[in-house]
Amino acid sequence: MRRNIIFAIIFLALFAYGCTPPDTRPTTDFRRGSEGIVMNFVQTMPPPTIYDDSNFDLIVEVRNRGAYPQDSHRSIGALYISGFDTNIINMYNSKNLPALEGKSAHNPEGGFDIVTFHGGVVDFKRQNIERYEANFKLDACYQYETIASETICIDPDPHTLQRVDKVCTPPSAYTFSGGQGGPVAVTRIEQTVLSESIQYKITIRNIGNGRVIDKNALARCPYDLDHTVLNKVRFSGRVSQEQLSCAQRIDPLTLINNEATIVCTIEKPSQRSAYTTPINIKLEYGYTSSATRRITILGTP
Amino acid sequence: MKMGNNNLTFILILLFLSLILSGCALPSLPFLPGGGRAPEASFRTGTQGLVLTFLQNAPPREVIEGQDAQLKARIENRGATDVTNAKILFTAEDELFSTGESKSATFSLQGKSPDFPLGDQTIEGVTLKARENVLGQRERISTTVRAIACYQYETVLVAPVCIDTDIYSTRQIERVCSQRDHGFTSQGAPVAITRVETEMLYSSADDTVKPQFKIHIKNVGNGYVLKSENEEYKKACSADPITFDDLNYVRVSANLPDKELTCFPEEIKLRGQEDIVRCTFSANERGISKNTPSYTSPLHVKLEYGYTTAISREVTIKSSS
Repeated sequence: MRRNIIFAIIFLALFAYGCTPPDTRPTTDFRRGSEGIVMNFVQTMPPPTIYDDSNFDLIVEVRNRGAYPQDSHRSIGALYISGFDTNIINMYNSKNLPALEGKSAHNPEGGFDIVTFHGGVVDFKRQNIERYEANFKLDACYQYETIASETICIDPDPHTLQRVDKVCTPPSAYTFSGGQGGPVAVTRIEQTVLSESIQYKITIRNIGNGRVIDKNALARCPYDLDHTVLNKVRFSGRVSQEQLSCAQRIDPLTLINNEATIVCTIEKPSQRSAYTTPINIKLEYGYTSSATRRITILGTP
Repeated sequence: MKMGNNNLTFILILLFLSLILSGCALPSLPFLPGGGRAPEASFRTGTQGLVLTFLQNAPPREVIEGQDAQLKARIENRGATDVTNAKILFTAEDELFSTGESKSATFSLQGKSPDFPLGDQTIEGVTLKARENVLGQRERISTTVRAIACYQYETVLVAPVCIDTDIYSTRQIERVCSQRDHGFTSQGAPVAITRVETEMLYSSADDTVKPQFKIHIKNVGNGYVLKSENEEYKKACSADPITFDDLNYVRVSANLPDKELTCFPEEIKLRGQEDIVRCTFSANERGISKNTPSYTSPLHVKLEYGYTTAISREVTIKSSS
């Protein structure tokens, strides 16, 4: 009897597990994440120790983990390699980034490719050395975009005394975490209804692990960057069909301590009742990030 | 109940086996996974060059008047430089001993290397004869016999230095290395490079940077540094007197890959056993462009010098009567 009860419980558990209704929710929004172009050295190509007077291939996996661009027909930047003595290692020091599609509805992982840097090591006997620790530093410099899109509630008359059932109630602020498919993200939007306009205080932040640069200064990346081109983001946005009108200079904005806050307005709509509408913000910028790898080169005994 | 006891026993056996297996360590592999040699320890360590030791009973502690005694020294090359045409001289008081035709010998010894981690060694010696009737009324007399080795040696250091052309840190980029001073203890030789300081000198004329290296040198062995030019060091193994001008001279040379550096001075006299040499690009050598990203480079420094080291042992001559 007891055994029958145990079997019955097991059977019911399996039945319940198998009968979960299918998940009809839409697939993951691809405009999520705080990464753009991600690079990883392949650790076995070359191996950690190689010998002099030989050729080798330095292989890098490059992935686009952000949501830009939505087409894969063009390269958005370049890779630069440095950190080693060119009298010891001969290597071409830059390559275009392969054309990598950003994440999309039909490609939720984003584009992926492999970049190979061919190198040659000189004969160490000629240089009187027995060992060299080669530090390879790979810098990626590329242009990127973040599109933040959110449905917001506009209540043109928030303090009305009339008893009205509202379609929505605006929160004190809209906060966003996890990014919008790029290393620079909109993190907060505060909405304030004024007498003639609606004001938006928008906070943007570099949430990636690289550096933001002016997208028009990519030619100076990575070796000629200074404060005049760093932390520059070009901002534009609209609420429904109306362009945001911003008080300060937004072309470009300057991030301070990786963050900037912009105050923009739209005209107050004529309707008095609350309604929902989309806000779209586009951030255009350049970005640079790096990866390093160390290889030991020994003289052939 | 019986089945329960069997299950418990089975579980206990499994636990016991698990404990045993977790204590077993797999033997370490001599080769890295996927092939390749395991990294080797550097042979360029230690503060010794040639090391002399008398063999046991050669010389003996006591010698009878008129008797022969062997004076033999083991010579080991414990440094990282090969020694060629070195000289060893054996000395004893002429009044008490005669040493036959030759008191010295010439030898060569391989130094430490990856294929020869301990260095080479040899034994050289002479036959001593205690002179007769030198004690007079005395029953015994003590004297010192010595062995002196004179040789040319080198110290080689390959130090990774950071060539950082952004000397004012204006470029907003993560560097692959940072400029810093390096300290060293030894390089498998009795004269060592103890410190290398790096400084970048900017030339506005051609917007280039020339690294300058301040190299600290010190005699860390227990012998004396001598001039190496024209085998001057062999004076210490001869009857010729050694003057102050013969002592503590070291010749310095340095280079980066494909760039010979000029050192000031090229031949330095160590003051108080330690001194500093500055090496940089020569005047007509173009510097490194200021726009070159920072990189690591091996700085090769070579010191050339003569060296002498000596050992002694007390021997008692006993009367034969």
